[in-house]
Amino acid sequence: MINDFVDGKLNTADENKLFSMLSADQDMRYELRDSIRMEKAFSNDAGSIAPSAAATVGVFGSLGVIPTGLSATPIPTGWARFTGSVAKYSNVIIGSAISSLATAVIILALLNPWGNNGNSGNIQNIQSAEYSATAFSDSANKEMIPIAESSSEEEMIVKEVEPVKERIVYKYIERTVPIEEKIDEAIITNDNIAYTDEIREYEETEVSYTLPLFNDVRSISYSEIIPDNIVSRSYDLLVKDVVISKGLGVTAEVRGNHYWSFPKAQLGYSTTPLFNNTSLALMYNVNDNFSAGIDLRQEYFYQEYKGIEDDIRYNYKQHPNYFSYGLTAKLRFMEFSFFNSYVQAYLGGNEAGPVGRLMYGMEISPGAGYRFILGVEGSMLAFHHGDQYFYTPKIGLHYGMSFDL
Amino acid sequence: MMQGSKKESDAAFTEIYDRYSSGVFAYVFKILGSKDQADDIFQETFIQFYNKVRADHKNMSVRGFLITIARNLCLNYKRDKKNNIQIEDMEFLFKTYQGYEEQEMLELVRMAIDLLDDKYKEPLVLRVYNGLSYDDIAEICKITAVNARTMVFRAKQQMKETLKPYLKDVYNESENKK
Repeated sequence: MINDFVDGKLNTADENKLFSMLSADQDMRYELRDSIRMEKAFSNDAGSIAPSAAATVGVFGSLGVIPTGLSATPIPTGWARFTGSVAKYSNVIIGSAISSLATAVIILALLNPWGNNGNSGNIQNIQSAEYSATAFSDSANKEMIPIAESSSEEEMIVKEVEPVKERIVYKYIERTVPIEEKIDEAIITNDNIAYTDEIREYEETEVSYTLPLFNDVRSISYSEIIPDNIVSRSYDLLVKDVVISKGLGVTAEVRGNHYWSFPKAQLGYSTTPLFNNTSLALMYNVNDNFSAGIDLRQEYFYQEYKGIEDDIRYNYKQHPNYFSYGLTAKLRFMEFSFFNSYVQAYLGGNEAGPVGRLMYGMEISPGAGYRFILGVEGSMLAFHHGDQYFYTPKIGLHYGMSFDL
Repeated sequence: MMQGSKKESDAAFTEIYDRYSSGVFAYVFKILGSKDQADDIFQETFIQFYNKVRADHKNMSVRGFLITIARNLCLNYKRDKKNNIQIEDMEFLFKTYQGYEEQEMLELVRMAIDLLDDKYKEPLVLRVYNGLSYDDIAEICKITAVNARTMVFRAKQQMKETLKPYLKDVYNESENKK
């Protein structure tokens, strides 16, 4: 009966009879349990047995039968796995590709490696010279870079442009240099002119430009074969100097600060940490006149607040040191040669509360890529005690240097 | 498969293979006890099925026909070869006697089947691994349906006797855990 029950062949009446027997007989229950366990093992075993892939291939291959759904040319397993992986991770692949492309576009737009004229080709091939018969007596101004454009053989237009301050630029600066040459008259002996070939070389003289640091000026050598039937001549040689400007477009500022608190501090500094009253700023130069970045500094704020607590009037004073951090923006204006003014705003905070600042100063650039800074700054710290807000202003003198990275 | 074009015939054979290959392989493997031998007989079974079906054009139970072919091949093989359970197979079975309870039971059931006499093993395998009715088993084994049922029952009883010591230990452990 147990075997028939497990086989599913028992009718209802016999099932009821079996169940009543099972309830009274433990050995029968053990036997039923064994039968069920065996049937379960049979089922598991049957599910785990399958012909091997080699056997399947052997069957179909021997018969020349193409399994349904497959083409006559089977797809290699490796390619199938590759395409499967691509399909599985297609979203990740597409998203990463778009992200990489967008990042590359943004970086290229910011860096603008081609500068204004878009010509960043081989520097060695930019040698050029123009021959003009018009005399030019004015020499190049080393402060301003002259550009000569010959609109006709008789008239020459001279332009002067300001030095280039591009962060990253491949730029050609054209200038003309007057050349006067004389060929040795000894070559001409009689009416029959002796023709000789001579080669004249022109080497660029040292020229200095007012340019930011990390710039290179490539001078160009020019050589020319002079016709042998000319005794003397003068001409203007058009020379192109390549200016390669490099840099990250980031400026680092290191400043020392000295502050005066309002009201005047009644206490000395509570601590004297390393780099106290020192600030460091890293700013990205959006253009020649505007920069923005972060500002970190160790500074003191004199704090004084009064109040009444438990009918006791108190007056609390302290002069602690804080590490302040925030965002800063600088706008340059009134530029004169190596000098310019600026205003700089700051918004940040420290553990006591938010801090706002405004600075006016000047930058002096004796050379390329660095400046001396001098400025006056007003700061305000807002802090609270209990339910009240207190404010502590101060005025600071800033002095330091900045470097273009 | 018998009357259609080559493409239709291949599609029909593929469908038949998908449906019955596992059962045929299970039968061959259980009867012979060796996977390598089973692979050969299994492939030969379907090759003969394909050729005989196309040639004879008879209407018959596909599963029964397949099992019949496999059975005859196994009998021929066993008549020609020495049919012993190889020692390394047994060691393999015992070596895998570890792990979870179900896995242990599975391995022991496989061992118990291998120890069955052929006259009991064959009906049991056809019933358990191929799901054949007792009538089909009787037709294949050339016995009566009642006899087929009896053989299956006796096969299970014999397996229970073989597994009795193990099952007793398992139940004792279960009782102790409670």
